[in-house]
Amino acid sequence: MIRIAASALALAIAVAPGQATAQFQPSNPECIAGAAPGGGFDLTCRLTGRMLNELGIVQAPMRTTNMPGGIGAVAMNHIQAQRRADPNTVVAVSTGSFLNLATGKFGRWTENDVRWIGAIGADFGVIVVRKDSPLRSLADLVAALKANPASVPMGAGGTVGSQDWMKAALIARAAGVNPRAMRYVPYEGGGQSMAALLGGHIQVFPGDASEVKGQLEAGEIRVLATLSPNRLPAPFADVPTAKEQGLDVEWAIIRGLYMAPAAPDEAYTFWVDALRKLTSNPAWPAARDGQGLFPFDSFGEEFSTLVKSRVQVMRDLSKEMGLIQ
Amino acid sequence: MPRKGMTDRVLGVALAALGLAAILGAAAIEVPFLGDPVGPKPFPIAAGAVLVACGLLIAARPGEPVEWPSAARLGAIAAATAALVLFAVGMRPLGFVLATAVTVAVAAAVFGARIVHAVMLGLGTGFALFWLFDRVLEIPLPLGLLAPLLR
Amino acid sequence: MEAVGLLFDGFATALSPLNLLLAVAGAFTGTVVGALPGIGPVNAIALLLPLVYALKLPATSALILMAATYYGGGYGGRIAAILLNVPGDPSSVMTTLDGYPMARRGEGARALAITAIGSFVGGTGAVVMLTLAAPTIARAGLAFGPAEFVGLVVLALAAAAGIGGGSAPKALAAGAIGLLIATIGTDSGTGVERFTFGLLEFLDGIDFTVVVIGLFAVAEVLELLERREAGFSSVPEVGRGGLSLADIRATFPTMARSGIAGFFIGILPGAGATLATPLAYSIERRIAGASGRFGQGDIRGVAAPETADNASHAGSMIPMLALGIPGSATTAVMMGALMLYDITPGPLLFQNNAPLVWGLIASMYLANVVLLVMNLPLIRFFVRMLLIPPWVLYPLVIALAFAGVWAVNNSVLDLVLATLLGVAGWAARKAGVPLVPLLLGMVLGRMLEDNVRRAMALSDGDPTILFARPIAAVLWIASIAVLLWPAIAKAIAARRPQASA
Repeated sequence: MIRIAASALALAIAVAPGQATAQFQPSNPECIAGAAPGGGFDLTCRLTGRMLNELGIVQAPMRTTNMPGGIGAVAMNHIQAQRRADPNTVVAVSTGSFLNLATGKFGRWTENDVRWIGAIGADFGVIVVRKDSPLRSLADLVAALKANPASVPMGAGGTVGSQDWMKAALIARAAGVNPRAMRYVPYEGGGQSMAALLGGHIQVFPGDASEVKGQLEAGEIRVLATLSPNRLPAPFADVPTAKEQGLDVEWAIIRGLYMAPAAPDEAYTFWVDALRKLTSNPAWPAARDGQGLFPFDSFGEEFSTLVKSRVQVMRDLSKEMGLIQ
Repeated sequence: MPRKGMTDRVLGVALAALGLAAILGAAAIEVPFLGDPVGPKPFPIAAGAVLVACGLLIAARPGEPVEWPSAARLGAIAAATAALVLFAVGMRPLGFVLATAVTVAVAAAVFGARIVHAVMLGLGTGFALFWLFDRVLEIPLPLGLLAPLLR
Repeated sequence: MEAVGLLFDGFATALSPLNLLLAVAGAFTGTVVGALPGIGPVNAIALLLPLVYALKLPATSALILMAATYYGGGYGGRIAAILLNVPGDPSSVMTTLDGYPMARRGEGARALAITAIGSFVGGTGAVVMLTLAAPTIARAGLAFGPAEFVGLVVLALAAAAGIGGGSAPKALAAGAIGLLIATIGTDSGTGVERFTFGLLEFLDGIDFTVVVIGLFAVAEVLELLERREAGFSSVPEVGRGGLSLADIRATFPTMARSGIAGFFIGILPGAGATLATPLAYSIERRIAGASGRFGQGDIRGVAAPETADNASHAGSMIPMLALGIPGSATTAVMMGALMLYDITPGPLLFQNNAPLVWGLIASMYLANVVLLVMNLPLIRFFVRMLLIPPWVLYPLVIALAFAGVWAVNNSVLDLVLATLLGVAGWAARKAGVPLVPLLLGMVLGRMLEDNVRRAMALSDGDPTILFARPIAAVLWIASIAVLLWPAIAKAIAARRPQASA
């Protein structure tokens, strides 16, 4: 618990100037989690940090700072205002942040204002009903929505306009139903939504694969579709994707890292390589599974392009659905 | 000095004004589309209306006069408040240790400590809490001016 | 009974030297962290999570450590609330109402002792109920939908009317301000921002802990400062003030009722201690009626919220263990820990991981005993805290509170906010505006709005949903009965004048 790092740190500082360009090593590395301790961002930071240290990829102990607010908006603002060129700080990011970037909830900052490092994994959206629901497939849900959108109360952990809402809205849109006509009930977090589903208060829960796994194994729920490009492993192996069922809807909850816009190139290269080394290490899959994430490899420029295109798609969607002007 | 009921009159008017501001603010919220039949406005508007009603009632029928502290006592309270603001504002530039030291020292002085004691208490608290949070609990705190020393 | 046998095996697990040590360490950490204003057990558990993972502790041991920490938090929160009138989190605000007056009378030790016992009774009673019927109760809890929540909140509000003193318009105004504070942030029903003034920090709303630190801790210190300047001694008499058996006997019905209420509210996902403590306090205050001295240092007034607090902690473990549903922030973190160990929390947990579950349950019994044994002798030490000169004590309290607020959120704005609220709270107290209704308005108002809107969304705008379901209807009737209770009591007394004499 007590940091025995003074010597390691001194070493890192002493080594850094000599081999600056060839072998950058961060000193006092820090990961900013844009949420309170215990959430998804927090896990991304704390566990990725631990692993990077354990595997010796980052030598100085990595520490986590929590900066809750707006799914990363407050953290983004802090980076821009206080650490524009910081080579030692990385920030956790997720699809939820992309959506808030798209809808202008990050203040004046956009997806072009930071350096995207890479993804550590992804979770995928799932459409869940209770085991005794009359809805047995995505087609049943589409038919019910078409007949009367208000007859199928849906609920999830996010606000209207959030990721969870988006998943439901995309299904509605693909079915030719106006998302505004849906009946959507916001809860606080996936746990409360699952409770509402099992209690019969809502009929459909557009959740994430990792948070419904236990209920699926116990046979309490039926998963109508996964919103993934391919089928997910057990216990989801028998669940068809939305695409297989003729609805072109995908929702990946990507988790990754970015860093300050003016961070030096050697630092950026270091962190991109660090994530590459981490995710290709044999010890990584178990740690990634523990965070409820499926493999999702995308680093450096490739990740940057991916994020920018995703944000643009979400911006168009949000406009189309009337969330933004 | 305080006139009978003056506090309640000021308080009542202030509450009513706050309520009115809440009503106007809530009414001005632009909703792209209604996600639920109630919407975001009724609750803040209702709370604002309650505030306006209560505020007017308090202003109209003031109770017992309140004795506000003298200027000297207000000075002590203002100093303590300033110490807290210093903590907030000084956190990033000064760092946690110094911000805590200054705040605790000022607060201790306001509570009647001798200056030497106040400064010692401030520095001691600053370093002790830094050690507790930053080193034991591994919650990084801003190093500020003392960065070379603490690293 | 099968459960008893499994529990026996559980004790074998929990009593292993490592697990016992972790339970003690967790209980101690939890008490300390719970006693610090600003930083709560949720934060402590989240910080422990990567640590236990790095230490490669077995899953059962990790969970035992976390549960003991969670429990310990319930014991720690009461100390500053009673002795200094400084609650560290929303759920210990109710404890200040009677705890501080008791401490001022020199009965701090008595208040601390009865709350330790109340915490033990609430915690242990709730674990017994958990042992006997967790899956059944968890299923029953699911029937609680938005409409039922509305009924429960209305009942709490009806029972709470009049708490905290002050004139009716002032108390009502405070409640309305609380509701307004709760509306700050992104509105979940529509995604629009309410009263955020363009500040990104306000998008998620204002942290309740920041409000509590400001309105209660900072305001209390400013008020002390003023009274000290006016020649008021800030050190209350420590006194003997031990606890007698008669006290325990007198508060036992209170503990039983509060424990049961806390336990059942704890089970409901999304409710928890912030609803359980005011409800338990208000109900006891109503039951005591004119015979009670609630608000002036009634011993039942400290026993009720502390018992309910710990019972709700145990209750909130039920949806996690039996259904794999985290009902609170803390249990969500604990579920995250399970996932790290490749254990999927869910309805099959009891079946597939029986040793883990029963080891945990057994450790809850142990943790409660450890906490009671640890806390009772410490009371003498806690009370001594008041002998620390005020120029040391109060700056330290404030520094700890602000350091906690900073460490959790790293937000300059939160600190500024806590300061401003502190000044406002001080002025409000001077002007006779009670602050507890403000906190209730904030906590209960938020639950009320969320659930009214959820219910109305489910019924497509038909308000009858709020009354039509049986549990909701019962809660509404109970609310009306509570409001009319003084009149009913008077009528009964009038009819049977001899009975009371």
